[in-house]
Amino acid sequence: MKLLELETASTKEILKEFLLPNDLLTKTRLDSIKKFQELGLPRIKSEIFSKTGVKLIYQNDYLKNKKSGSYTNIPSSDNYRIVFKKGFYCPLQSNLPDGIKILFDTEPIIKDQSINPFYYLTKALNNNFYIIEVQKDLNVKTPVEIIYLDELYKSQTHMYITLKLKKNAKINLFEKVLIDNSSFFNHTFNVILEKGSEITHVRQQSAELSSNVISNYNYTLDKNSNAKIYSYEDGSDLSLAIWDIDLIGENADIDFTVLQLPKMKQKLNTIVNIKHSTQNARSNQLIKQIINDEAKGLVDAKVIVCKNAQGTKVKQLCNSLLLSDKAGAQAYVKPQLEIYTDELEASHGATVGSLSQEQLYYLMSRGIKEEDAKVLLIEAFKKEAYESFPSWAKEKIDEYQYSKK
Amino acid sequence: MGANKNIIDVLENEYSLGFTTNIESDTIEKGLNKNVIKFISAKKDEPSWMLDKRNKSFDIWQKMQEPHWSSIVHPKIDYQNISYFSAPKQKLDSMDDVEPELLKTYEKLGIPLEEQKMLAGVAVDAVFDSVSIKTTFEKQLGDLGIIFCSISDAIKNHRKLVEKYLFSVVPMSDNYFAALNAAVFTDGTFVYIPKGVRCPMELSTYFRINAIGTGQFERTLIIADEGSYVSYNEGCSAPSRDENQLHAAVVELIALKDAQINYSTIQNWYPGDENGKGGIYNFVTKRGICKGDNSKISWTQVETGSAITWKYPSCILAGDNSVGEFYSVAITTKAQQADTGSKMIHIGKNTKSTIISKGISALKGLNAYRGLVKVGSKAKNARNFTQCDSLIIGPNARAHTFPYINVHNSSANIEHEATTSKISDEQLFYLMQRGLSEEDAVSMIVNGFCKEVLGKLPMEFAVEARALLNVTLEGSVG
Amino acid sequence: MLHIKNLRVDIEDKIILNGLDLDIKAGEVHAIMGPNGVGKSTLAKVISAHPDYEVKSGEITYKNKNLLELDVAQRAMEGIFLAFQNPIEILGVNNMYFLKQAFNAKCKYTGIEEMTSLDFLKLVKAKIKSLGITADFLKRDLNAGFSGGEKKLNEMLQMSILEPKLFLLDEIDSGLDVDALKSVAQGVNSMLSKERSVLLITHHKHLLEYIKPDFVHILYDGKIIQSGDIHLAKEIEKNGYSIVKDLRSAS
Repeated sequence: MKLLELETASTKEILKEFLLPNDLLTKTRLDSIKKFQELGLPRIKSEIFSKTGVKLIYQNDYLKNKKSGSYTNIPSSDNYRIVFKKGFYCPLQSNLPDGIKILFDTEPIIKDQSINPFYYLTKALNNNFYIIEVQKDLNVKTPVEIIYLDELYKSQTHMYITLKLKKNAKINLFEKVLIDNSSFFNHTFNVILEKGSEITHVRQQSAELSSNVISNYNYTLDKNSNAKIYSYEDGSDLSLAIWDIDLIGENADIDFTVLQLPKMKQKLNTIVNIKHSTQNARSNQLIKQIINDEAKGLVDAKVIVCKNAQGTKVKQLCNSLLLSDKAGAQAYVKPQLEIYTDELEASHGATVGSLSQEQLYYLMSRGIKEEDAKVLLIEAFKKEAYESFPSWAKEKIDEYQYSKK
Repeated sequence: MGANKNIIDVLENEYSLGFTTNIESDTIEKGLNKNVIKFISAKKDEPSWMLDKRNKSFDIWQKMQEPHWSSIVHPKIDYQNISYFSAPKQKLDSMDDVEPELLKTYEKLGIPLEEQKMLAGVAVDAVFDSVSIKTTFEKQLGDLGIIFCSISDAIKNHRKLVEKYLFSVVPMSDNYFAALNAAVFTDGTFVYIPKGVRCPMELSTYFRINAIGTGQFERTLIIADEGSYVSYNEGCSAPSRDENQLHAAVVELIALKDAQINYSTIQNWYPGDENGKGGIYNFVTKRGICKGDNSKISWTQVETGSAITWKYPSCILAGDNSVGEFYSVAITTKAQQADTGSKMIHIGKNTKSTIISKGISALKGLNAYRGLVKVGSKAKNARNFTQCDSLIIGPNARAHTFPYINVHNSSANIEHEATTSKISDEQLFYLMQRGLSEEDAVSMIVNGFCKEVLGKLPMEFAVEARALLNVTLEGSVG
Repeated sequence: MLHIKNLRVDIEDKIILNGLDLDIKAGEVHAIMGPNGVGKSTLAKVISAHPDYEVKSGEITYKNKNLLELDVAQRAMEGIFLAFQNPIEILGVNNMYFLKQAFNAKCKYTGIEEMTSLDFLKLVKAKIKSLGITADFLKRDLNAGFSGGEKKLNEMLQMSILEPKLFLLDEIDSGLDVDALKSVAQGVNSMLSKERSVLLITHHKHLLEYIKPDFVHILYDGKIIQSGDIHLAKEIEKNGYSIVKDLRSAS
């Protein structure tokens, strides 16, 4: 079914098309379909989605959703892992430590104020609502991988997962979006951090270039919790990552790093909303884009500091590097601050530019070939963001890039 | 915290220009339709082509919707409850005809039309409600071939220039308020600087809304021909009234090859009271085009007034090597709202732009910077530097920053920086420990915060602007 | 000149000073010593009316006036000058302009005619010369981008121009090398007179070699627990503040 058809199809047709179970959550699904149809797919006038290029996928005809029977082998790893294939959890390929459980979520969190229609689609059309629970005080150093796979040609998958870290739990999460076969993957990933919990969340979005990915992240950080998020994005034709991050507890702390690397005709979009609704929370964003060929990169980053959020610290930095010699590469950057309190430290900056001719000249005058000099400078630009990624993730990402070559 | 509370008392001062002037004026009945437009056109003794354009604009406006995308909130404006023309009854031909009451108004505003400004070497055009009262220095400027007159006179006497350039930068259909303005604009200033002429003095217009229930819709058109230079300043004020008055002006600037236009604004319309009652709605479209190579347009604004300000002075950098600049200080106190910033559209090669914006919000003030830097695919080596800083005074003030960067050429180099801060108690304590009163300390910090922008104003106006900042912030009623 | 009686000061419900007494006569140099965090700086800030500190009880009189009734600026006008441990940076406010404003405010308060800009410039130039400061100091923004030593010199410059009566010197030796310390101390010493008093706050005896105190007080547990002359400082140098604890347990 085309996305465009979902806008007008009857609930009956939709339930049938997606083979949705009739259970206690059917009402949630029906409400979500209604909500999606009320909002409609984003058109030009919707400010946050304009310029994302998301319209281009509305007409794509995705084939009927079927449950996959075959299991491909995933390279073995020392890490723990949770594998989802076609939106279903695959226990046989997964491996979890004690203290982390994966369950059917019978009470998926309500987030009715969202104006993101794709979020409601995941809530309506997922195969199962999953919840991953990390028990209190658990401290797992070995990374837990979450792998999304898709192996049916031109299919569409919608997923809805909630990850809950109970009090003082600590984990390292490595989320891999490796969709292929020209399919469409739309998922919601809620992360709830209870008091004192800590997460390091690395996301690698290296889907095949013919596929499209929409990711809806909803983070809630309670008192003294801490999240370090690193997103590496070089895959898919069109991707849309929407991060809604709520700092609801005092001293909550978030570091948010994105490395966006669009090339050819890719359209990669990062939309971030960080909301400081309480005192003394800190957020730090670093978003780097390297845009090549005729690709487009969009960053729409907003920080809202509410009236009672005294002692807030906000930092926001977006750097874009345009590499194409042709006039094809495009950067859209919108770093925004909405501030309702006077007790804070806030700064943001943005730069868009090409490689420095002076620096190139300097390197070449020392005998380095132009091509090599460029690579050196690009790596230097990338470094500030990539350097901060945890080493356990960098190794794997580098390996993956190497194997693709 | 304790120290900041007192600042708030300091901020609650009276609007010092809120007097009204008692003169008989000719005001048409409220409402807007084609008869009103015909009436305005007839009053202005306009040629029929102008009336046609007005009617066309009116048709366009009727099909448009009032914009609501900014962060600003206001009650619905009833466009049929505004009078679209008001003029002092007496017909004015020369300076001697100006009513003494009117002259007094300008003196109270600190804009004596006579000796003082002559000594200062500033040529002044004053617009009172809807009509241009008089233009000083017209003859002296005329000798250089400079045209400095009201737009009504220009429509009658300089048809070629007006027809060629009016609506060329801000088309009638540009936006809701621009369309409204095109239909009903009553007066404004026209400037033409001929080839190679450097205008020897500051040109200046003073706008004032006096009559009750009126709107002001002036239109300014400035053309700097090849190799010329002009520096132009406008000032604005209005009496204190409980109702909201609408001011929807349009300014168009055209800089041809090697020409330069500096445009400064000191906007001090009545801001309304602390509950948001009364005050001017200042919905203005200002845009300049650097049409020729090596041309330059520079906007400087000091915005202290109006209940609501909605304006984005912009530059279209079409000519190669052209330069656009925007320097802004916007203060919002009481319940004022300002949504302001700039658009820099880079089209030509090697174009450069600079945006420096300083927003100060106090009491319940809202200050939003909204800007766009766009680099087209043919704009090789475009450069932009943007800095927008916000200063927040008091716990109920709000400051937003919405910059938009859109780059389609990889040789571009764009830098954007922004900070948000408050006047820290430690800074106040330090200055006061050295003997400055709290008012002086606040004013010193605010002036320091705005220094880069105030430095861009012509001398006489910088003094005026500083004084205005102090009045707005200090409570010393002038 | 300054009398403090039974002073109690709280910050956010925490008692910092409790039952502190201190008398400073005209022409005297007093040094307050004590371990870190006992409220030495609090004392200086309270005397100059810092808004963070709340005087719960006790008296402070200065030149026979109730100091607690005066605000920060009024106290400054009366001749109280606090040389800050970390002078704050204020961007955009020109150093020279600031000096002139502060000077004018003082002239106005004392009923003296304000100086012309030219005369004032002459005065400042003479002062910076004697302090060994370069003229570019005046062109910069207030303390912005100054090194630690430069900030302290700037405090001395302000002090020499505003000519206060009571100097509150809050750890002016912190972060300075020996040479910088010497020139700062020289600046202070050159201003000493029979009408002027100094309250010197320091952690180390070091500074007292350059600015000689008439009295040394040990601040501990919110009050002055021992007073003496320079020998007391020497004793502390030798035995550390551990003697303080002994004193406390003894009392």
